[in-house]
Amino acid sequence: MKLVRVGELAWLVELAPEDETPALFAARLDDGRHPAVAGITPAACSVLVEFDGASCELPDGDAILTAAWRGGASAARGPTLLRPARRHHIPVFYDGADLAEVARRTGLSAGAVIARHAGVLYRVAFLGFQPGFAYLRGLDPALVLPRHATPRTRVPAGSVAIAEKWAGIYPARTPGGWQLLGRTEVQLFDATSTEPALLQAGDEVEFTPC
Amino acid sequence: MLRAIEIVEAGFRTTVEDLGRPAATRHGVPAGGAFDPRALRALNAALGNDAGAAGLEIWMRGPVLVNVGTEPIALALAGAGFGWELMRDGLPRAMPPDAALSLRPRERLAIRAPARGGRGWLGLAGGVDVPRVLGSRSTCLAAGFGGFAGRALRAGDRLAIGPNQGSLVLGQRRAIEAVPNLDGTMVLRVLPGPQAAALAPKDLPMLMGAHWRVSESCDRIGVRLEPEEPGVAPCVGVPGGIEPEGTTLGALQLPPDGRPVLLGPDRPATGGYAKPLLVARVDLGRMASLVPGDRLRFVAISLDEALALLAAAST
Repeated sequence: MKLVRVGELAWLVELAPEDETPALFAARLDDGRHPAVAGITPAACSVLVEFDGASCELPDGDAILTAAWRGGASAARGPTLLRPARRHHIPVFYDGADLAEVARRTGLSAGAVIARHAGVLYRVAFLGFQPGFAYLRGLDPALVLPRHATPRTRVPAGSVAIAEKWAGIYPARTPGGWQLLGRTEVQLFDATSTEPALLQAGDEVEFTPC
Repeated sequence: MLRAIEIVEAGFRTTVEDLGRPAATRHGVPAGGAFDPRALRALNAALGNDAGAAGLEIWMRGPVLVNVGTEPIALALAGAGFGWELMRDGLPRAMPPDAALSLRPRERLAIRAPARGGRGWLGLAGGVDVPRVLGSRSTCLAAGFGGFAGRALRAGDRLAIGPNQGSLVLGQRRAIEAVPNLDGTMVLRVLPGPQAAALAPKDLPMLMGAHWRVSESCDRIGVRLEPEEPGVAPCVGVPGGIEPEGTTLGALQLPPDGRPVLLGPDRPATGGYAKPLLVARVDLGRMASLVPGDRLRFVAISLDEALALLAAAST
């Protein structure tokens, strides 16, 4: 674990692969939330912690975060997530705009791309980019391709996509640069719900061709 | 007693904002909130509001509103160069922009943006009373929720205003930010960002030495910059990007095209591009006031200097 100060009010907690995952550390931080902590953003291998800018007394983020980290290492209780992890089955129409191009670039048939994309169990690492957008770990290495150099100005809602080592689903229409393999009708985000994002860090995701 | 305002003219883009939803980033939701949190806090303090009461953020052209309630509503204004005009007894009256005023029932108020445009904030005693979504009344334009119906205000919208939360003194003057360098070059003070050391060697001198111009792509998500001198090679950034990580308001992000983007309040919660610089929080108001065509450059300061400036500005 390494602490990097990010400006006046934020710290980035950088985590090594052998450390607790960002999602778990974020959940634990939130669990015993220090009153000065305003925002906690877990990501691929870090947790950004932002402190409240109102108080005249600036918080000692180094001390607060070091204590939180040590607290976890020695605590007997297990870290808590927002809720127990779930497994989601996502039905996919594999008719994405980039399917043929992904097949060409990977040297696979379209059918083999689909089989490899749908053939593994993914785990949600964290959410980011847009509301309800989950970064899924577990993509078949044969499907690793870069983002488009020039992002599309409009990616349809429900697009099932890949980029680099990640898989994901666009919850809403947005500009985006990922390779589009297909689409789903599953609703991924509902701001009015107490649990607005369907997919939560730690959840498992399986794609089923339909 | 009914407390409400109606929007007569919407302005260019006027949104309901409070201090945002920093606790919702784990759902991939932008933190949002006022572009300059200190400006909104100052308005709320002047009006006796809780620090997190919702006001209106105004972009480029001011709205016109009318008190459609049954009691006066106290208002306060912030934003470099912004002014207001009250229609009282059938006559327009320019009012001092640095003191709260009381808008009586049926009176109209026109917010005047400076000729160059820019960003301002209108505080309302009691705060705009729209439902909280994910802990905040701020408008999330990207996903269409929060604020008023998840969108910018339109003519005819009626906003409920909460009851007065504390005491206020009308006519008391507040310090108001000067219009920043309208004819010259805006200077933003910056700190090293998390990837300052990971950049290509030529990038940091290039970022710090160049004069930049604000492009047409300038909104609450981000302010895209172009080098002012044509032919200046854009920065390289960190080739291949970085592992996605949480983003902060005012971070300067370098995408692969080498054109820096200053991240605004509606930025994505996480991003995979290097962030070599951070705008000092004391200059977030200046950053918020940037409009397309503005010239700017960066001046490096230390974290200690930034903290001292922030402390001095908060007292």
